[in-house]
Amino acid sequence: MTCTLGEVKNRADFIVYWGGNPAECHPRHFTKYTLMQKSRFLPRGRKDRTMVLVDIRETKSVKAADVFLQVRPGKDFELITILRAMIKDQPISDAQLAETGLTREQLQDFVTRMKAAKFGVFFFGMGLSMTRGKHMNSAALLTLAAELNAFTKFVAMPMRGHGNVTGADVIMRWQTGYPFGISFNRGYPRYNPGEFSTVDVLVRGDTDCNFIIGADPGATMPKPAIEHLASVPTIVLDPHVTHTSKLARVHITTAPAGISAPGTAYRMDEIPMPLRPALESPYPSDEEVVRRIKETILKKPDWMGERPQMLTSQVG
Amino acid sequence: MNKIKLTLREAPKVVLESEVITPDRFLDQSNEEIRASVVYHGKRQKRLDDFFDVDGERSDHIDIHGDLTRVRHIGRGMTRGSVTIHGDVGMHLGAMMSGGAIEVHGNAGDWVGGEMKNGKIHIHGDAGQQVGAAYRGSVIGMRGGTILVDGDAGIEVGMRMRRGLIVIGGAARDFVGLQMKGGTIILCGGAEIRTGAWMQRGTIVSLKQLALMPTFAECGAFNPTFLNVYARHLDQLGIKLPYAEEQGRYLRYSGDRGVPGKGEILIWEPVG
Amino acid sequence: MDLKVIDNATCTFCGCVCDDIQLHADENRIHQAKKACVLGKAWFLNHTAERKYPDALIDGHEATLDEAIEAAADHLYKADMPLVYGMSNTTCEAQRECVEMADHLGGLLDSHTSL
Repeated sequence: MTCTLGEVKNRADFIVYWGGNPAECHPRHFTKYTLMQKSRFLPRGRKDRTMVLVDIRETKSVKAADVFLQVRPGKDFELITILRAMIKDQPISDAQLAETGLTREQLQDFVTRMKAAKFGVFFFGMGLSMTRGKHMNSAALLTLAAELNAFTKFVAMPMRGHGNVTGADVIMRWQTGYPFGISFNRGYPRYNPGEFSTVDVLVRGDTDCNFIIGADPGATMPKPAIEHLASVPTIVLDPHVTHTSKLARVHITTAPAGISAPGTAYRMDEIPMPLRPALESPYPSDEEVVRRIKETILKKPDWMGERPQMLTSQVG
Repeated sequence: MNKIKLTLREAPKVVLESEVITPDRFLDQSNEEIRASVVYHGKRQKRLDDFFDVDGERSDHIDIHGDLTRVRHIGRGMTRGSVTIHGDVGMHLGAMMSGGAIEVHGNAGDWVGGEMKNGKIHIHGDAGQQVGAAYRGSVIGMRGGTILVDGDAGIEVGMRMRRGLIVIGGAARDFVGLQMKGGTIILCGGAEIRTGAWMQRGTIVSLKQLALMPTFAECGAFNPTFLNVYARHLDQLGIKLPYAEEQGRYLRYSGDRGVPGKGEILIWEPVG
Repeated sequence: MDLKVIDNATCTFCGCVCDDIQLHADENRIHQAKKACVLGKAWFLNHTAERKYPDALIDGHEATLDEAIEAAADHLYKADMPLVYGMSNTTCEAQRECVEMADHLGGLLDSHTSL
């Protein structure tokens, strides 16, 4: 239930930013894709579009918004569920509405605008997906977008953060069928976030070697995870000597992607973009180093022997 | 009674996936065959006796001793017999099981009884997240059977469950009965937020006050007749569910209206 | 001084991946990033082609690239449960190699998304 930013630019007349601050975190999002552009379908540009911002506090993005809905912290899931009920004309009492920090008028207006839109889009940021409830908050907004398609065209898109995280999802989906949280230990990919996702794995200390590329968990992860990174062999590939490098057994400096390493990066709407590096780096690219490590591993005797057997009764 | 006794000798350094530890397999196996069972220490195939001392053979009653925190998938898909664990145990205990009984004298990891069809699991300590839940991408969680947790439980207890009974003796965390389609969850020690979120049908009984979703509607107080029957059934399992009118009554909430669903949450309100 | 001009360069700082940046660079650093936002400018201008860090470190000591690759491969090969993680600030080509390596290793594979 998503689309490209080109479609948003040309068609979206109703734009909702939920739990994000694009004015500061994605500065060109408004001007390049969502608000300012004129198109055949929206000839007056900004005047033909409506922007609603949902957040827990007033950020710099509020200035760009037509409507600002200040939701009480930690009530996003409740608010979205109320909206799901309201678009289906289910009764909700005022006392229950008050819990979200918004009034019935505000929400009724929001629902009316959503249903009246020709092409609506939700952009959701870390304020939604990283607060209590996590994946269920994102799931809630995606479900709301799906249900709004009973009335009009509606899509939802995550506001992805740094660099090429979108590319990582796309590449893993293409190669394995799953976007993240994958285990190959039985010889075929298995997916189970919570069991195979890095934070949980490191906190439990379930690995005996870590290969970290283009990330710095040593600066962001909880303490037990960092302690585990230091307690087993960790290998880091990064253009800088990072916090994680200092815990690691092996650090390899690589050329920064997009500055001096060529390649492809995915935009948040899953459109691949070629990189045009400006500088020559004295360091090799990530791609080259990973390939060489892989080739060195492949020269060693095959560890697997007989192919491991499937985990039985995987599907009940 | 003829029993097989497994004692953890060598603690695994990483996850030990040992779905071979089921009564169904051990029933027809000699001691040597059980010892040679393949387990996965991370990615590597090992023998069961690399980690466990094995006593006994050809039985569907298994006793396991030791700290099994990293041992996963015990009793996966079992249909009969019993597994008794003295110590903590890792994820996916009794997942997809359709018969038999598992008892844990300790704590259990995530996905206890994930998508189980029948049988009984009793955790004397705490359980992890997603008790009796559906696996990612699956529409239906637990389809039958009983899970009893004496201690606390993590998030998403009974996520997408279809039938069966889950009793949490201690406190549960967020999203109890998320998207549940049927069955019964009994919360003796209450829960944190978002209980019953997106439920379609099914019953959640709480003996403590709950912070409910705003999409649940209050619909009266009463003493449902079916709880008398249920209380008698639970009494056999050692759980006391109040139901008599002189002791109090149940406040009934219906929802989740966001779906819209017809699930019910019953919250016990004692007299006085 | 003559600066090399690169049209339609791509900025990978945030998820927008703007691909209309004009870069003015010499051998060593980027001097101007036209059309880029505040964040993008800082990102482009902060990088240099200097050799700021050693090629590689093994156990905190400087090492050559070949030694480090050998050491990394050894650690990964010996592990019973290796983890390949991150892949945000890198190219799709490198990510593909990572997936293939994780597959050969029989390890865990995960990105930032799961946080």
